[in-house]
Amino acid sequence: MKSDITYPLNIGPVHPAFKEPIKFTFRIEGEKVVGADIDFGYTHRAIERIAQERNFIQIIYLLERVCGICSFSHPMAYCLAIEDVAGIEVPPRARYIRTIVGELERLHSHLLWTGVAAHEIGFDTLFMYTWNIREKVLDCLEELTGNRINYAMLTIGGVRRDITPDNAQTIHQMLEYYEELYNRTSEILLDDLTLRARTEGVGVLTTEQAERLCAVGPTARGSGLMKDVRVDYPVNAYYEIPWLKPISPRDIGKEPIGDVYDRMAVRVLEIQQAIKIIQFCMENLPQGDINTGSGAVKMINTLKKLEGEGIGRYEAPRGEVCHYVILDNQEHPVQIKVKAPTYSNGFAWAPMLTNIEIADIPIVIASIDPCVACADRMTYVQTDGSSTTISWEELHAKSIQKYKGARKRCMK
Amino acid sequence: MLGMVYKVVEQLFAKKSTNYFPSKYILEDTATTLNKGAIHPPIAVKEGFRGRLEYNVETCTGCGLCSKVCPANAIELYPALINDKKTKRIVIYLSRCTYCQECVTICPKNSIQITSHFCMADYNKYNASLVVGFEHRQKFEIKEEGSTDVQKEGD
Repeated sequence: MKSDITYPLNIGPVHPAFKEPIKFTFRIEGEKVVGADIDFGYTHRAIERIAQERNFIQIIYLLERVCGICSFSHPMAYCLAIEDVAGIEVPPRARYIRTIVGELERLHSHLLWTGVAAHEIGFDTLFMYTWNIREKVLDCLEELTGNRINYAMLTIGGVRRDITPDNAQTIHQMLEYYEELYNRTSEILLDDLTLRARTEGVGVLTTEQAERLCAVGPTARGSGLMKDVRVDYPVNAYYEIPWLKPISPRDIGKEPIGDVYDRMAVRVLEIQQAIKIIQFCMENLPQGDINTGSGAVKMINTLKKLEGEGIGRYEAPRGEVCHYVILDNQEHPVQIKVKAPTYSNGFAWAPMLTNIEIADIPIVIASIDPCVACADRMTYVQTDGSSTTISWEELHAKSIQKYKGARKRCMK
Repeated sequence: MLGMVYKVVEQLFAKKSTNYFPSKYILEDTATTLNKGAIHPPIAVKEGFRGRLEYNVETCTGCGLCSKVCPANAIELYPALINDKKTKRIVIYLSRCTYCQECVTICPKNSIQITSHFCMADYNKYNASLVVGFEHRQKFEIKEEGSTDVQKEGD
């Protein structure tokens, strides 16, 4: 018997199925989800505001903590934005080292995601398998940069640590390890019947929807959009790699329909691509300086005299990350705007979460690799201490007013 | 039943079979203890590991560059009296430190060095073991009238 009554189902803000606080309100008919409403704003940390009280060098380490996994991508986009304003030329060796660390981060992020996805569908053996092999790349990152997660590797105009011959040997050993394991891993992830049964045809985001909702990263590529910042707007060493192209499920001979399986296939293929890019960079690593040679204080004093605005775009493991800065003769940027990948991909949840079953909710939500803290925006606290949220029109008017003010200061 | 009561009483007076973690409780001959327990000994850290900071108060000139670049504001400058000269010295709060090594890179006299020591847990974050330069501060600081002790105030 078909039920014609729709029930609301609240999940969140704090729920064991999600890794971060976010609230979903589903409308369900029996076991079927017919609509979803998403409520952000439970973990806003005011990073952009804090950044206005720190100097240019301190901000790098603040932005590493925007996201625990993309801890290279956020400062990378910030450094690109500052270098854009100041016109700083990055030495070739530094560009290659940046590319290597960025791809190592992508490798570890995608292995982490496959583990999380396996855990969400209840396949905990695979979760432990992928997180076990992920330790190798974390060890490699630790030897290369000194830290496992927040690498503290970047500075404006270069990198802070060089790759020594010992490090190079570790990287080669790690690459051999993953090359041996890649076939086995991709076989488990792409051909296993249990995984296929749970992921194929679930959480579909069509190409048109992905294009209209401005999806980025593996979410967009899984839906068949050929967009990748590394190819479209190359930075670092990416434009010197001749064979680099956006990954799509067509590479394994499957026409993309935009389900969870396609997004997983894109990530698995990107693991292979990251290994190849690191190999290319290690073979073609040029000699020379690793930064511009000016210390932190000299760099702050140079940037203090500048005015203007700059933008930095970088392909994080989850998609495009974009930082916008305005400089105005001060020790800190007067304005910094962070656009994290989940901010774009969050809208894609709405079509994905319709016409699925309740049991598929965790894997569909996890399929865009969400980072809720990165995307949190809407928290408005009045000066008398009482907290309130504001409507979209008010927010729009306020943001126009604020950016006009910042621009006026900048253009003066 | 009576046997159980006997066991409980025995447990109450038994010696603890584990060590407290903070390093001051570790037995002096840690390696021997670990071998005795047949536990895997800790492996050596890699070169370039970011561990506890070391501060040389003799070579420091009190320029304050390190506190300017520290992203976590973990470095505090205090007025000091050294060799009858009024100058400044630093303390580093390791509980706030992010181990980014900016201060090590910027120091013109190499007064701050990074070591491979990582066993730093303690119950109180303002203990001498977690504040680098604590003993020098007690020795050299010029105490002003009415000033409060920052280390006692907490965050």
